[in-house]
Amino acid sequence: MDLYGLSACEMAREIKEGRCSCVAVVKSCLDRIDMMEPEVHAMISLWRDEAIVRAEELDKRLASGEDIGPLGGVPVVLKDNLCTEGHETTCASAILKGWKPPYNATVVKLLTNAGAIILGKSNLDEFAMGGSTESSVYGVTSNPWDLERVPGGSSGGSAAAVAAGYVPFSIGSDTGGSIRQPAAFCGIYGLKPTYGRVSRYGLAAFASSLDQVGPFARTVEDLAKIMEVIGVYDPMDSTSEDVAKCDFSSALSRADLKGKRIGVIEEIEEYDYDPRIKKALDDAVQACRDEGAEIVPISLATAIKYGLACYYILAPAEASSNLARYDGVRYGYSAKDANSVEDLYFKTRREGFGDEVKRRILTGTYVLSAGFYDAYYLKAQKVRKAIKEEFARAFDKVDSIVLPVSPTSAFKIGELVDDTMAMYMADVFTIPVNMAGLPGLAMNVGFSEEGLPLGVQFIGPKWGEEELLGTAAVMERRFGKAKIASREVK
Amino acid sequence: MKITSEELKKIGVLARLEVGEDEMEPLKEHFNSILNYFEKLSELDLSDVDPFTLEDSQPLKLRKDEVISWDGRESILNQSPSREGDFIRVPRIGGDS
Repeated sequence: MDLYGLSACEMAREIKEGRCSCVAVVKSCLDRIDMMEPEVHAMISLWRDEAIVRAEELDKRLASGEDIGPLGGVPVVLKDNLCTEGHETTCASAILKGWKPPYNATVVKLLTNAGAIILGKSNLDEFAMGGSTESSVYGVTSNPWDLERVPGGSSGGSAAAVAAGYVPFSIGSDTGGSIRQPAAFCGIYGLKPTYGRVSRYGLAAFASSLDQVGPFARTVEDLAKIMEVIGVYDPMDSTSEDVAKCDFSSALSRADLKGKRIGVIEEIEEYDYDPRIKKALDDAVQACRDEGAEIVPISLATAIKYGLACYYILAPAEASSNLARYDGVRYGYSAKDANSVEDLYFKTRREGFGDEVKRRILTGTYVLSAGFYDAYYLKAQKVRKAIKEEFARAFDKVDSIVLPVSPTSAFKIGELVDDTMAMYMADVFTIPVNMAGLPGLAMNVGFSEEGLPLGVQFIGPKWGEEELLGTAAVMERRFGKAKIASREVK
Repeated sequence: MKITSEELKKIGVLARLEVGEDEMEPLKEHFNSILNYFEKLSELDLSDVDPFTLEDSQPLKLRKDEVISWDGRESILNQSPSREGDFIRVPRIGGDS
């Protein structure tokens, strides 16, 4: 097998044991990118030369007997809403074109310290608002399994990069499903950690009470290893919590579902969605049963019926506040010929933001404005509280919950662009997890007849990543590791 | 619940975001469908829910009040589209006088 096709843990082992060099791994991945990128278009920027220089430096350190870290020499790509010092961080928006952050996000620092080599920044929906990676000012990313289809979003570039074999793992962010849905669409693993597990310092804020950073990978072992590296308390993020560091990797081999109680949601049984996704869920449930788990029906009526409306009030409200900082004064795009400072704000924001971002800023401003606050924002906060309590009651009865990721598999590029509400509705199964701040893990359990990946997600209780990774490890033994999209490219 | 052009313009002013005439109709359409969707929440009885109690988070930790030096000042100033020395030039602030 070519080096690019190895998992992150395999790469790190091969390098550490001297069977290949960091430079060889980086070059193999860059070759793969050169071959696939003209058609997939997962990347906003490539750090080609810098990556090779860093690989050479790591090879030297290794030769002198140094430990280069748990991810020593392993290439990674980062969603382009994570700040990278001295390298453009665009959020796929015209308003940040040319902006080079003066500091690194904590996650970037942690990965670099662990020896990972950044190959570049990946595409996303503008400011992570969307589920298809079609609203990027840098163009649309294609799904590596079918170039006519979307990779999902908003972390579509990060997911496509791992599915296409550019890198063994990547980093995304998940506010309402932006890691799990693209992971499902691209047939790989995606983990949205518990709110507070991974530092958000240096992540461009969208909805701060919901945003969480997490990994994509093709094996569960990799997810566990990456979580050990990035799941670290950070005093620079006031929402980061100081929980005991977990040894996720060593828990995998002894993972077992015997005696575990896995919840299935009654309201989803009644929900009308793609029968292929339903079949994938049934397969996953059966696999859990075969492994000795007890399947327990639970009710999450508020989460499933009202979570979406609640989210589309709260997330835009927070976004309208967070995106107030883009004003054309201190950094990024600045409108020309403004005749007052107010005029500068109005024009910069009109010219710099795309349609979906504007819709969210305006909706968020509306629900927070005088006279409407109680009817929308306050009410939504109450629903959010009710959803949290509902999950707490569910986790009294079960160890984890299994459900679909999205009601469909990857849809066609352009199919939902003009139907904003339909695009929003596709988030129905991912959003409740963010509302409750819980961890969720999406994984592939098969393919449709036309060759599209079909995924499911497992939800765990707060700080339940170890449980989720263990469950995923058992499922991986049955369904196999995630595959690289093997389609031949011209 | 239907939103008017006047209301939408007012929201644009609050958001410091110019809403062009060409954007008005599609935005109105969007607002009307999403506000209609939000009505769903009225089906719920939320009278007993206190939305602002913190249930299980750790108490907010405060950092030590100490000076940490950082040399990023220049790189921050350099990001401005209109830096002049240690200042950032903006168009006139205030009225016509």
